[in-house]
Amino acid sequence: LPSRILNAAWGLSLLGYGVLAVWLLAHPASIPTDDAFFFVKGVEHFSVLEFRPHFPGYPGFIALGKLGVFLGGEAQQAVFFLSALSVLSLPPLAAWAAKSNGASQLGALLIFAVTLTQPFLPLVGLSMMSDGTGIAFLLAAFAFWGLGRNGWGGVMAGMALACRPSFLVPVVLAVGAVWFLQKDRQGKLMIGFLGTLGVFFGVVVTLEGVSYFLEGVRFVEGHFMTWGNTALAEDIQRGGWLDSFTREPIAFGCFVALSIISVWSGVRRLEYTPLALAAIGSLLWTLLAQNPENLRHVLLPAVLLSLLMVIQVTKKEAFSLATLILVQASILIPVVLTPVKTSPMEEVIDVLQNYPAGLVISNRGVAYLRSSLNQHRISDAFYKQSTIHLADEFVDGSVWRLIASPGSPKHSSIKAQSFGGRVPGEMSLWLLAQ
Amino acid sequence: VRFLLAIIFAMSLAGQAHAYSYAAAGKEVLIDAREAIFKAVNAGDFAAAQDAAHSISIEIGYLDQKYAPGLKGTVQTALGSKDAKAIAAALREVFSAEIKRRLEAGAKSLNDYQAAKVLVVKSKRFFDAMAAEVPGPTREAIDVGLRKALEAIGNPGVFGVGKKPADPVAYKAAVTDVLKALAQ
Repeated sequence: LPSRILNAAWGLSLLGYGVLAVWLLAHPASIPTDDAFFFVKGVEHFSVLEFRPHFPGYPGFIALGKLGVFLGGEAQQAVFFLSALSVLSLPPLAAWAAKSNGASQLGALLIFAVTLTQPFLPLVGLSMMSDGTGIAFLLAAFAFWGLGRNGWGGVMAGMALACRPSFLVPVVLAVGAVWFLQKDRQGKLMIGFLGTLGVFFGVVVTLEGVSYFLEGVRFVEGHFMTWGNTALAEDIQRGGWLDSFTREPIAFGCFVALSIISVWSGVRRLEYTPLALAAIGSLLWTLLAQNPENLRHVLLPAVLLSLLMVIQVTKKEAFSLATLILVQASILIPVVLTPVKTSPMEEVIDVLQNYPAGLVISNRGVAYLRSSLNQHRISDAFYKQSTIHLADEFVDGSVWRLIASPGSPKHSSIKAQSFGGRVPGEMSLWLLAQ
Repeated sequence: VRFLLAIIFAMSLAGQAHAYSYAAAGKEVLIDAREAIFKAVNAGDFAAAQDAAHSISIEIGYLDQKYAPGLKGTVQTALGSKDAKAIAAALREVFSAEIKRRLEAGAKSLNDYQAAKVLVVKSKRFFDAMAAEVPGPTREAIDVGLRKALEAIGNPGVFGVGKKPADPVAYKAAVTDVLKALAQ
């Protein structure tokens, strides 16, 4: 590609990057979910048993959040900026990882642009969660491994897991592959990786004791077995990845297209085994073991698969990636042109604060609602039968149901107020008065 | 490759969805029984409610003996009255007694930080499962009391750094506040 065009494309990408950065950081630090609320509580005071935050504790993320507080922020701001800045670090880190693994100038540009325009990047940035931070450290690990610095790569991979333990499968696959392929520098890799994990989780186990492991058993079992489709299900549209596709057809379609072309091209290049294993591993893990309702989960496989592609990009692949970038950009441009606002959950709380004491039935943000709305009773819709009985005791007009739904709820006769998501993939909330 | 992709997508479409209601306390017989009792009551089937209550008769008997004298009778009377409100009130008493049991066990374990912490946290989780049963301000008072109880059990710190001894007087005061608010 002529350098004039390359420079112009870089200029355009950097302009887009600047716009996204300003837009993301202009948002108020408002809590969107209970998970985010638990992170804020964890930065204030760490205790896994008390869901500050929930298992496995995310000690790397909490430590960075505490650093933010130490630098003068409040816990809520610290978590927000950590999450937003992590996401903003992804395009340059991905370009660095590509370059250090031998990508061309064009490859670096493509990965920068394809990461920047990821449709769910703003979702992760505003989520106040650790996904972006975990991905950032994993990209740094690949960058260091590409430079042959296995020790630092190990430290970064350890940090990725300390921030985002659910990345276990791709991280362990990558570390294992580096260990297996580079027999001369295994020691440094393992010291860096296990040492970092040892420090963070060692502190957690020292603080929490045996109960940490008991909570782990309960939590993992709960994640897979118990927290299924919860109560009052007739109003709640829940499902697998197919429903995610119907919720965000173009954005999710981009992910499917990227998966297909990158798996296709990646299979031909098995010499990049650590990255290939991590990318395919994260794709499988996300599709099979993550909650399809949370579209932020697709960001990790999307970034890793793109990285896999750009390292030895062919003309055909570059063309398909460029097309993908244009489609993705067309999704995000209208998003960054909308005014910033607080999260749907925060809006719901603002509305409910104006009503006298009543009953709020919800299976979203129950802990955050309870801590924010002192006058109301908040019933966890998980306990379906007790909730139904409780609702009978209230007079009409003082019972609200809070549900998340991509479209309008089925009972159109009920007075419903909607609170739209801010970015692609953020669930809209509906407050139904009855 | 096509075959692989087809398998991936076919499997992922069959995947189940999870809602994140961590308050689901797990295998707690009292919580499960409460759901079963209300299911029967909501359907107007009071015989089934009696059967469901029978599944926790050992637990109720124990709480009656040690922590809440008369509890057994209250539950039986409520179920016999076939009055949903009375049954709900009796179940609230059962839950309160269970919280009392855990917090008083915590008082006896104040020399063992981990054990005391687990007992207080478990009582908080148990309270979360019944928090909708009490008015908002009462919920807040109980949450504050439980937080004070947690603070009162002290902290061993990390290798002694940040160590704080347990404060039995503060613990007792916090538990009294919680039980008083629960009895309202």
